[in-house]
Amino acid sequence: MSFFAPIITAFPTLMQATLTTILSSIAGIILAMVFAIPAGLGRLSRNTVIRSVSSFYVETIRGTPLLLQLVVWYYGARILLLALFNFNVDVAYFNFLTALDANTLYPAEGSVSGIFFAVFGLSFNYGAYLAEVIRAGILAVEGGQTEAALSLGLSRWQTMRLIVLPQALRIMVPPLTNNFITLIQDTAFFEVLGVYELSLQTYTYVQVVSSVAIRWQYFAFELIIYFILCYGLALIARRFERRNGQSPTRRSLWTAWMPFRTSRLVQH
Amino acid sequence: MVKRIPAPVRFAGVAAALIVIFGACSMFLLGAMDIYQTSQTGNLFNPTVLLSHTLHFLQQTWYALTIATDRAGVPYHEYLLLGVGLTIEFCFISMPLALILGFVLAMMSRSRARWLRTPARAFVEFFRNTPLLVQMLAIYSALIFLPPSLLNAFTAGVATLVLNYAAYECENIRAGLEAIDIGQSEAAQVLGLSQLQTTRLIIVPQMIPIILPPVMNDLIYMYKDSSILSLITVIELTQASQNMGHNSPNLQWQAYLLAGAIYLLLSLPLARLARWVEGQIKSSRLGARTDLTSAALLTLGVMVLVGLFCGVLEVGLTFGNIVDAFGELIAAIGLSVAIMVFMMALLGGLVGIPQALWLFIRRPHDVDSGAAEGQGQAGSVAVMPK
Repeated sequence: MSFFAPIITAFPTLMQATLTTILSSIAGIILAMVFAIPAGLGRLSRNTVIRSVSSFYVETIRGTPLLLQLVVWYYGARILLLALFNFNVDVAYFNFLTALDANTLYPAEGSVSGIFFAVFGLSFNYGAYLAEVIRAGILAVEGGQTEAALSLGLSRWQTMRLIVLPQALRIMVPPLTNNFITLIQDTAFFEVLGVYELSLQTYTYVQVVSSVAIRWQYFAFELIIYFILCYGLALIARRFERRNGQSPTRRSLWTAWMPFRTSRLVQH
Repeated sequence: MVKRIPAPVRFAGVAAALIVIFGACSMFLLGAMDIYQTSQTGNLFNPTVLLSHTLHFLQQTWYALTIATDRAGVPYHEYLLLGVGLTIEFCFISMPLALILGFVLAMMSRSRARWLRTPARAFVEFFRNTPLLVQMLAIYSALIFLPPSLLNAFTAGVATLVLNYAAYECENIRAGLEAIDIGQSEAAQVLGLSQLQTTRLIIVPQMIPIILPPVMNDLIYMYKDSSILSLITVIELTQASQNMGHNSPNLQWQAYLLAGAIYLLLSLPLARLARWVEGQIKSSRLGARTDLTSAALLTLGVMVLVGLFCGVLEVGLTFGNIVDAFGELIAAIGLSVAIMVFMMALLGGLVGIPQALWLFIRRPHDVDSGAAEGQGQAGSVAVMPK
């Protein structure tokens, strides 16, 4: 058992770091969808101004690397906020905790602004990729469907909500899941901004050890955790796809994303 | 009925709105950055102040691109050029290797032999579901027992990109192979072509138009993913711009802006080119007359040579440097293949041995359902029925 002593000692810290990874990826996924839905719909808009603004966002973000964007958000946006509006994220968070009388919650290592700008930059990046997915999914629905719905007298919004989106969502699920999986993987980039998530925590352990065997223990542990997170999401998505493929019954848009049967919850 | 506005007026209005929106946003951003850089104060909502700061920022950008040097007298455009060279070198060397290894993986994962299929699937799933960054750090910092000629920043970077992208290309190529009708290869075998001839003359030429768009997309992704190599001391474009920012902090913003512009300039023409080639092949102007397999292999070879040439240009075009570059390329290929074989053996053993035991236990009861259920390999019956 002494062979595994390093990893057993580090286990609680690594699990805490894993929690940071999971929470920041969940926040990133939600925030990325918040960016993606307006941008994706905006690229399909009939209004030239809206369309070109969202195209500019998507093309610029997709054309530059995430690492560069994170660096710009952290070393740029943070300092610009400070210089222009005298707004410091760290101080603001500290004051917020002081107001709640909960200063012990302030992280001992790393910085709040690091994780703030990291999650923001990651979501801003993935918003562009997901916008493309959403646009492609909506375009993949046959045009006749929209025409039929419009000729039946549904409004544009009703057509989108009742006819196009339920079909588009089914097409979007595989690419969306792939993007979510890469998003979870890309939280490893947070180590550049000094956020103590799984990869940076492991790397701090690795750096002080020169033994190859112990280094491999740490790396194997880390890789296995990432594999469990990402492959688990992939398996859930695959199951969802298979079930949706088997039963093309009418399902509510608002329950379709749930990874379990919802017939007991919602009567169709 | 509202009278429709005539088209020229509408166009002018839209153009004016776009210019106002983009111009105002960019002017405000650039002016704010200039105020920060020059440590001045000024109300940016005052048009005169805003214009002067924006112009000053653009002037500084032009200065950074043309005559600005660091303390040693090295001009900054040389930083950026060297960075672009290294980025192109890594991408153009890694992508062909990844495609070739991905093809091997795809053939293995379509094989009927379980001892070939399981390791390939395990390898692909493992490398697709773990972060590229962690793979790179693991390869670079946990294989330190290897000699430095075999494991340095170049070989570790190439091996990481190759292994990760081989897994993704394997999926692309597998999708391309599955899209081809099975009757094609059956007809080829009936006509008396061998397995190799079928692959070379029938399968691959039909597969290339299908996989070309995702592969080009992956090449664009690779440009951007190669920025992580800055963490293992490769001075590629991102690191070059960061160095520029460190050497003269008053040009930091210009450095990031120029680096982002260069990445855009690298990737946008490639996307256009991909769409053009795809159209040429689909309209069968290119596909009917050329031997696509040879053309593809030739393209890959030329890509590797261009990458090597870029690498040699960095250090100076001499005979010794060319020999060194070839040596490093061979070391990188050896490292990639060695890690791939090792990981396939390890992961294949971890997954395959319990799987084989499980199938062996279940064999007497029901052969068919056991094989069909076996670890999600749907439909492929690997256990011979009695």
